[in-house]
Amino acid sequence: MLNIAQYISYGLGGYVLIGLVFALYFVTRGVRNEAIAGKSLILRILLLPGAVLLWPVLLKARS
Amino acid sequence: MSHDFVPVQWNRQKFFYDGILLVAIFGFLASFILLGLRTPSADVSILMIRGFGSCAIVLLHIILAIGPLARLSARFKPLLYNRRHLGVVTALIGLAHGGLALMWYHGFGVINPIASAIGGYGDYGVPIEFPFESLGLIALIILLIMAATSHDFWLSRLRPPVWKALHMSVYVAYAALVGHVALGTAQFDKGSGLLIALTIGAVSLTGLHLAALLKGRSLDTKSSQESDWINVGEPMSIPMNKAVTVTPKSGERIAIFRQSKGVSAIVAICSHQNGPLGEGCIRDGLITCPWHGFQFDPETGAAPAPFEDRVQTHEVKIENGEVWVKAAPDVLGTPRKAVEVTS
Repeated sequence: MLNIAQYISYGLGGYVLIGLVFALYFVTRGVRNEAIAGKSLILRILLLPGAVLLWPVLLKARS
Repeated sequence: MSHDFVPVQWNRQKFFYDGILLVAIFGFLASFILLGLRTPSADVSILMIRGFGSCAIVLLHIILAIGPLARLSARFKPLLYNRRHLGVVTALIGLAHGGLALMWYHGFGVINPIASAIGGYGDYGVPIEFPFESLGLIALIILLIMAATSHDFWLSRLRPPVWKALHMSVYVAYAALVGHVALGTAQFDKGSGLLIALTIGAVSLTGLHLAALLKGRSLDTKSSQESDWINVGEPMSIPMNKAVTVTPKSGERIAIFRQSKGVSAIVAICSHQNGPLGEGCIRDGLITCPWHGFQFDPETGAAPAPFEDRVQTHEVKIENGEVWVKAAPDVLGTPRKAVEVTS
């Protein structure tokens, strides 16, 4: 069981790491929604966690 | 919605509400730790872990109670308006509980802490030995996703149906947390009384939800459906600037409003967060959702500019002094002039 748990934890870690890289790009340069483009730094920071957790959804929407 | 996004939509009422919330949370945590310290074997770290956990589950009960309470009594609607901040705070407190527990119980070994928490002990095949921390982790992930997507940007980006479905997973989180606490208590903290408190909480929430469901059904006006049309009764039976609702044999509930221009009908579900538009009223000539105040033109179903949201309209006719509404909604964006009421 411990082996599976380790794979799960590595999977979670990898998911969040990719999400973080994607989210940083998304909130700084990648966001195409006109309502958010050029908005305050605080707003972008608030959107960061969502982009980290939902990066596959955002990536799919952009492709 | 498509309006200009701001970081946090604070106003005087929300400042007041958030202030009370923070004071209550600090009060709860301080009381929990101070009372716990009276036990000779008390450990501050463990008390903090349990304090954050208890606080999170109490807050989750409050969050889940607000929806049905607001339906049962209008006095609770201001709480509904502020529920989003409560959800974010609950997720953060849950994160504090999870983070501290992970460090304290699993952070000092050779195995990575998350693997240790979900697979380092117990047996998934034996119910009473089920590793209860894995259920806590599932609940925490759901609460964090909900908190992270609570901003209107995400509502706009994901679209209301997806966003709403995502946020309905709070019930999955609640079920996981009940399992987490029940199993944790059974395995490591027998006789603490937590199980009794949890049962009271779960039964109360179930009762509130059932009562709200029955109230929602009882709000429907008496109607009869003949083929494609539903008889709503006399126009004057619809209160001025308010609505009556009917539920077709298939499809969503319909709200039939009466205002100075006449009678109009729309689908009774707000496109913002599925609020009950039929329980709203006409304000400044617009249908106003009772949950968050989102507005729609009764004749077009469109939100006022610059918003772009719409709800579907329904065709209405008055025959022999009775209002009839078509059971099937119009194609989104179809305008329907209000049918004048002649006395």
